[in-house]
Amino acid sequence: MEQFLEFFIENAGIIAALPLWTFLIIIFGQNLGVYDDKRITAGITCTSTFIGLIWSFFIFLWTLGAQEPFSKNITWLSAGNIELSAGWLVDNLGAMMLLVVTGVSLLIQVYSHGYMAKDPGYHRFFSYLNFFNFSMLGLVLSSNLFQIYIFWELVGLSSYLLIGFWFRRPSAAHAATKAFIINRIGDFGLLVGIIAFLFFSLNWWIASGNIYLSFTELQPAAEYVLTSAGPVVYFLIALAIFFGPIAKSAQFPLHTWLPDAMEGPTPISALIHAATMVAAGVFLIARAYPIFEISPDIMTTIAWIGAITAFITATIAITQYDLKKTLAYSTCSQLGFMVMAMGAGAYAAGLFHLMTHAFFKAMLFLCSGAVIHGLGDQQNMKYMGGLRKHMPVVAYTYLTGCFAISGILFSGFWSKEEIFSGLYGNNMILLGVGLIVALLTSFYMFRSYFLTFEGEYRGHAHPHDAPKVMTVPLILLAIPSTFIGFLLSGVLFLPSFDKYILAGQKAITHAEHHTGFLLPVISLLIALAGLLAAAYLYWDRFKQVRESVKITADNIIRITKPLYALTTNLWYIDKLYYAFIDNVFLPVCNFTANFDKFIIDGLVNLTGLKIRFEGWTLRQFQTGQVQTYLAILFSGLAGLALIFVLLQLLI
Amino acid sequence: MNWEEILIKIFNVELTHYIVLSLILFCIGIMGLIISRNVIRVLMSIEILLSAVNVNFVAFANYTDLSDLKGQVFAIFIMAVAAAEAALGLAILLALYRNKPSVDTEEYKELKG
Repeated sequence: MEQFLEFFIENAGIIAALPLWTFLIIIFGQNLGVYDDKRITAGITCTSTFIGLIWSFFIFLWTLGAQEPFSKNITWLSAGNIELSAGWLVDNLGAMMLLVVTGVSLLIQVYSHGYMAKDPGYHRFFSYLNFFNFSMLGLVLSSNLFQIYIFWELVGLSSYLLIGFWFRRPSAAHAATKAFIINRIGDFGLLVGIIAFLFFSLNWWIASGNIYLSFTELQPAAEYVLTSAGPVVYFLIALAIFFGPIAKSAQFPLHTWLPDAMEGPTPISALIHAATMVAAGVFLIARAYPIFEISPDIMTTIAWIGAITAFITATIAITQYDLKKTLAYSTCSQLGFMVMAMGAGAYAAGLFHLMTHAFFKAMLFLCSGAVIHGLGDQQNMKYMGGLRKHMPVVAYTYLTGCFAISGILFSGFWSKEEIFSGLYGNNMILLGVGLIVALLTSFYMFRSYFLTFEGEYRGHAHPHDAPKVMTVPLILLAIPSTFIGFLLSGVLFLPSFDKYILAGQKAITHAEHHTGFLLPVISLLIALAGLLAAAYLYWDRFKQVRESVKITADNIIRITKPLYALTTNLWYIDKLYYAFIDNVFLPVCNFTANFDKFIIDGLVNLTGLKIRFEGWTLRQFQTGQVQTYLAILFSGLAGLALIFVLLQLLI
Repeated sequence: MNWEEILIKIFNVELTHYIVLSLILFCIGIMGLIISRNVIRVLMSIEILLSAVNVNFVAFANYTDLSDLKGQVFAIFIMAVAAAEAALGLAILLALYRNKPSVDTEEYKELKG
């Protein structure tokens, strides 16, 4: 058995290579016209992901019995005394992520087969999907910071391609560009951070003889950097590395790309912009945790950025009427939760929330996709309502997701509770923010549920139920969304996620505080309060009560007009960016462009003009008339003779 | 000075005189080459140039190696080559003249590469 599992560990790279091969097969198969059957594309894609899932499962089994993480590397680049490697690292964290990524991908690929059935870009969609899977699995398996950066860029690229999948739609093209540019800011920070880190720790790597920037050796390297660079420089380096997660995980102030990214097809929103890619930021924080852990300042910064993101995006989600945008802001908010947990030292809790969130948020997005599909591309919740009668499976799975994300007994409850207990001992203000965000989360999720599935249908298109190929993945995702939190929470002799994750990370100190029953009960009550508030304001059952007491959603909006304006305008963050770009960035660009155009190009053109003038002057002698040449020749000769004679006379 | 001395002075032709004659001929030839637009005149100017050279050759030959006759032989050669050259030039000119009824060099600008 041991040897059997060793085989899967030794060849873990296959998991990432399978989608790459599938990608190449689809690309060449399509462009060379080998086949045209959509079932072949879907078949090979799902098969490769399924093999990946099985493979990941065996890797997971291996990690249960393993003492040390497994790493296999080959030297890739060597320049001077810098030697960079590529390879794979398998530990508990990686195995968990592999299972989540392949599992969610598989279900979403099955779902996409139904969702994209009538789209002319079906094969292109699946090839991008495979490319994304390759990049994401490569990122998860990366053994060092340098390699993870490469896959980090690749997931950014596939995200760009998939957001702009319907590139003929200008809004999709803009959203793709925006996502790419904002991610570039973060990637740049990450690159600078990695280079600076390598620069300061280079002597340590040379002396220790380890794989450069290897994740398993980050802690002593980080300590070396801290002593050699000093705390201020170290803080800046760690902050630069943290810039990557800020952009990729859509944290304030770079979160604005994620809601716009909803222009992509809904399966993409579910896979990339909810479950996996945006979680890569949190994953990177977890991988590079030793770097952040030894500097309390950067940990506080991370925690506060997470808290600010969670709060701001939760308030925006309350007033959104676009179903997918609500979910997108909710994703930002939940990612903020994870980052906050990481920053507060609740390492395992943040990852636990990452896993549970991946399941229920993917499911919520797929539900929204089924709704949008069933209503003929209608995304506005104002034109929905009463859809529970038309698509019961979708409605009940969505409701499950709402319970899970709000933290009412389903999986989200357990992971959120862990985050809260992590925050409890660390920072009471953050705990307060977390509880407020939990209230808002519950409110906006049930608001979206009541607006979409309850009451009277307010739209025009005839709603039709989702096909089996779309509802089966929903049901399969509903199972972990409901139970996984409880199963892995470590209560009642069940296996504990925390122990599993921390077993592979001996170096990490995990802040855990047992708070008894008080905190879970409070968080549950808060979530129920959000549910009741949403039900009261948006459920038709309470219509008469609402109207008799005269407290309706419209009235509340009227009273809190400035606040409402603030959140509907997305806290003016986008507007601020556009104002900055219009008034500062573009004028500077114009100035430099003109400087280049007139001064630099002018100088270059001037040399050209000079040569041209000289050429023109010389060309006057080249008439092609022999007589002119002769005249020049002999006048020259005569001139020389004259000079000669004059010199003779003078000397 | 009596008239005999004057005669001797006139007919006592020295090398310098030949060279001056050659120079004058050469200048006339060059002048003709440069200023004439008529191709016939150009050819004639070239003949004058060649004869200036011939004069030089023969004069120098007379004053250096009377026994060897190298210069004179060279002059003969030049005359032969000049005849061939004139024949060729006139042939080309005739061919041109068939295309265009003119012997003016300005008229043949389109031959410019």
